Amino acid sequence: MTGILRRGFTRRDAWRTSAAYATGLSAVAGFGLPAFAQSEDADKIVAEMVAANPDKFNLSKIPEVTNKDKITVVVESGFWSDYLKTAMIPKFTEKTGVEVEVVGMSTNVMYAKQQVELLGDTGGYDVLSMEAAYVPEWAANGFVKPLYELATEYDSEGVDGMAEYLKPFYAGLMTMMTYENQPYSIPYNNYTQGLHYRADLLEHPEERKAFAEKYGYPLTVPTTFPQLIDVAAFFTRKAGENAAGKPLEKDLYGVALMAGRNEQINDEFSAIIWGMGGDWFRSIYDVKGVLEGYEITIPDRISIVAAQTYLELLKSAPPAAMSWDFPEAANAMAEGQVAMVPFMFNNLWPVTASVETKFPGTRAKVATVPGGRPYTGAYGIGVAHNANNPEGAYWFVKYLTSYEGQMAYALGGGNPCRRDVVLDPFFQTEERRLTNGAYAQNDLDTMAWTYDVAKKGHFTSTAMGKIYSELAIACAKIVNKEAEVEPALQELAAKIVDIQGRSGNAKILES
Amino acid sequence: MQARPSVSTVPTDAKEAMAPARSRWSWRGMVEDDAIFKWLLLVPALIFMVALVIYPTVFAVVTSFQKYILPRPATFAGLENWRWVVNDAAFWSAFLTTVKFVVIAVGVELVLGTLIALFLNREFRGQTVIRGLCILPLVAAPFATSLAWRHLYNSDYGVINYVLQAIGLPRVEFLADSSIALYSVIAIDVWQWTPLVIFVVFAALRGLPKEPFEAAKIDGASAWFTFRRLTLPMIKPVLLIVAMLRMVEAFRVYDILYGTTRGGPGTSTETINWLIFREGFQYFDLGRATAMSVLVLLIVLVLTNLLFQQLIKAIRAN
Repeated sequence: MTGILRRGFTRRDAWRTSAAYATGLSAVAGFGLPAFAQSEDADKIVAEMVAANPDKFNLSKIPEVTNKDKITVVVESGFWSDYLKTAMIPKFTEKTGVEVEVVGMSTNVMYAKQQVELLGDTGGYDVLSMEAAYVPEWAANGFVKPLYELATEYDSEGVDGMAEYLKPFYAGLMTMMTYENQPYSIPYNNYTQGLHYRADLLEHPEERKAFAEKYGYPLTVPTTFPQLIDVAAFFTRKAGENAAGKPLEKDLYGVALMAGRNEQINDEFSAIIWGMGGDWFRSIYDVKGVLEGYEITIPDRISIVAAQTYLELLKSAPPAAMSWDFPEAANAMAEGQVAMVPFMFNNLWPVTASVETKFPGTRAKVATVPGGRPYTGAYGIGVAHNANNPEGAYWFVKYLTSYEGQMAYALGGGNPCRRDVVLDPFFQTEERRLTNGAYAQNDLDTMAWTYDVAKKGHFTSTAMGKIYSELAIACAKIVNKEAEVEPALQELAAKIVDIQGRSGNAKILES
Repeated sequence: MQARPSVSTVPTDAKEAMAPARSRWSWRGMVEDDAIFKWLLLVPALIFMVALVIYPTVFAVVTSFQKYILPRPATFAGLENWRWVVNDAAFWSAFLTTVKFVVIAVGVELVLGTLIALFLNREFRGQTVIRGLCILPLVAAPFATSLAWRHLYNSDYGVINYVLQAIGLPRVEFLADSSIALYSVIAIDVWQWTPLVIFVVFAALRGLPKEPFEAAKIDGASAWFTFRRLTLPMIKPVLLIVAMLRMVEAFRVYDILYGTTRGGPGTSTETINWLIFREGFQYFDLGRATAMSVLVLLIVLVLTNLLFQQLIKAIRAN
């Protein structure tokens, strides 16, 4: 890549980058899973870690499984499904005698494909993969078996043992996987957002001086939205201009945004609205903490300013951002095209941080998103209500989310949901920084905010799987200037009322 | 076709004539009775038609009058879904986008396909290779094609923008600029489906009689006159058939959008099928999804019927 900077972008580069990007994109087709291979000694490291923690549940603690029928599991495609097939599943099959068929799926089709099977009662899948936003819906419809029920039936440690097993997981994430006090799924992929930025630019003395002269306050990592807008505009420069004391070979933009017609645009908007203290729709609880209903808050002043903030940020984003999703946004930082990705999912850190290997002298860092309330959530796995082999499925879920499973996930660059893995000193070293360097920051944000975000309508409404799409459409209309901000939000409010009325669990309350 | 003589009135041999009268509804009786036998031959096809076309269509029409949101049971809803569809701005916006897509894509494919077919209908060096290459886009899966095009269109590393910049033209946001995103998607469809038109028209050109063209040549008719007054009228039925096939196919466009714009930027490339998919397979509101589907079906039926009438006229004229 440095070669490209020296000689300019050639035709060969164009072909090569297209091909490489196509490969990378398919590899990160799962929710931000990095496109790099497992290290050769991953198995060895996992085995050592497991041996050093004999008290934690691991493969050897799975009892004799009586039902030997094959199980079919849905997992996000990418390195994780590959690793399962080559490393974890053979061990599981050897131990239990239960064969496992893996159905790899990209996360953007996961909901619809599994939902069709569940509605058709085909029994096609034993183990389901679910995003936090559709756990309430599937739980309410009885599509997923409650974990306590499974533990009572198949696990000698019973409900207490399962409660103990779930303790190392982030409490906020577990709340998202719980419906009416019953956990239905165990999280394994934490996608809390962070502000990923180029420290070599934001911390450069010349840039700091120039920024202070221009804006009248010091250049720091943005913590507020007005600051973010200023820093983004400041680093938007044309090829030939200087950045960090060197002339730019290509245009540099302040921010990468996921402004395409995908659901992630809603996650960016949400982080801004929540960061400003607002909401799309607010969950109202009674004195006993029982959900009474939802109050639609849009289009209030906060949501309108949030949308205007996004539009302002777009001015400092590459024009192509209008069609981007998370792989492209992360890739923009990796390719040295942007100074910041303000609402990047932390499980994409290995992609954004790869800028350091591609452009020597650069430095990637991660901080809390401006406003301090990132979009947070997780992907989890649970047992389908119509599983052919619920016993095998239960032990598979427990094995996959065990210390051993999450350790393997972390080694591959995934963002685990167990604190005992995330905070393991092994991952805090400089050597692991480009793979696991976002863990410490991610832990702070997940701990600080996840429990609150779990109470949002996003994670309590049984219609959220459907409302989510409408939020994204409204956001896309706003950024594409197809509609003015207020009417677009007004229309969205009506849609939320409609969908919640048609498919939701709780009523819409008058504000 | 010569009628099959009835066995009951024309005995074939004395042995059969002496046999006791066979029931008309016995297997042999049905086979030997022309009036029944012709229906018997149609039964397998009819079963398929009923199971795969008529039943689903009737089911869709019935469902369009129901409130049917899975997994809840269906209840009668009268015209509620239809009222919703007719009043839904998103539906009409998507409908307009679909019509634009169909008219431009099919129109360009027909013109371009016919021109290329005329070119290929000559003898030239490497003709077999060129004709063979033309079929390649047809064999690629539309979704895979759309992913490849997504990369070709990319403004940062896409080959198309590289070429544009190399010849001094500005970079184009093919998929991110809402004013051109639909045309970029149409271009993919044209690339993929023009070969179909090429081969159908090419086959038609090959089958044309030589005499009228020789006569026109002797009379000194220009190439344009010959094309307009001879070739075009003669291949018109084929063009109408291919137009009909492509129109129906283009109305169903979904996979190209899935791999490229996903309906965006904003809703600028959102087509009817995209909307139906969302309502049916994301929201699982079968009532509304089928109401939209039935409405689209009716519109496509009317358009197909118009083309069909033209086809009949063209066949009669030939």
